[in-house]
Amino acid sequence: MTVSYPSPRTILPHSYPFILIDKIIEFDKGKRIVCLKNVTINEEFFNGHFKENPIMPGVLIIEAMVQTSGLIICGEKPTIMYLSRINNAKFKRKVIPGDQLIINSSLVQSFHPLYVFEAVVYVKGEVVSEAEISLSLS
Amino acid sequence: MSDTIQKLKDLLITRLKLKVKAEGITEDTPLFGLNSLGLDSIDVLELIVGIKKAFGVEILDREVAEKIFTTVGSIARYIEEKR
Repeated sequence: MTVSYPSPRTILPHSYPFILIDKIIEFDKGKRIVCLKNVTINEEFFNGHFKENPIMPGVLIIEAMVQTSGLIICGEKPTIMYLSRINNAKFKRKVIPGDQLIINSSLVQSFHPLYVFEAVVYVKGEVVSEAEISLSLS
Repeated sequence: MSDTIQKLKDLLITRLKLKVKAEGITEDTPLFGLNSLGLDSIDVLELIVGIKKAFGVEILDREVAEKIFTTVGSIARYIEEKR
């Protein structure tokens, strides 16, 4: 059975061109989430990063983790959250056009208004990046 | 207890990247305010995550957190109690 989830665009306060996830593929509200992003050669940043050697910038992979994590605590309507800390970020492999990012995030601890998540990004089953993300609601 | 304090000091220094040496922290060193380690609310949340991982002790209640996060010793005593 396939469950369909709402589009991240309807939940996140972000909009074009800064939505870095395409869809939700698994969602256990308030606990964990898995999102997907297809990385294509048409992405604006590939024009300059780098012209002859397109690689997705690590900071944008982090942003994808942040948005994915934000979805866990967002309600039905867009809520603004602020990134408050990034810990132990690692980039293990290059992300290039054609890759499909599978972004996992789980809530590890919360103390309103602060929330800590552990996020891991996979491409073809291999870890490309991981980080501990802290978000603050307001 | 001294073992817990030592582990806690290491946790504070490594996880929160405090620019102090372990010898510079005592049981009575305050976490906030004057002559303290100068922690903020994000540090506290970090510490809660770190304590859960290192000692297996969970702190879920805000009131409990406010009570125990005063000095290094007060956190250590809580950990000893709950372990």
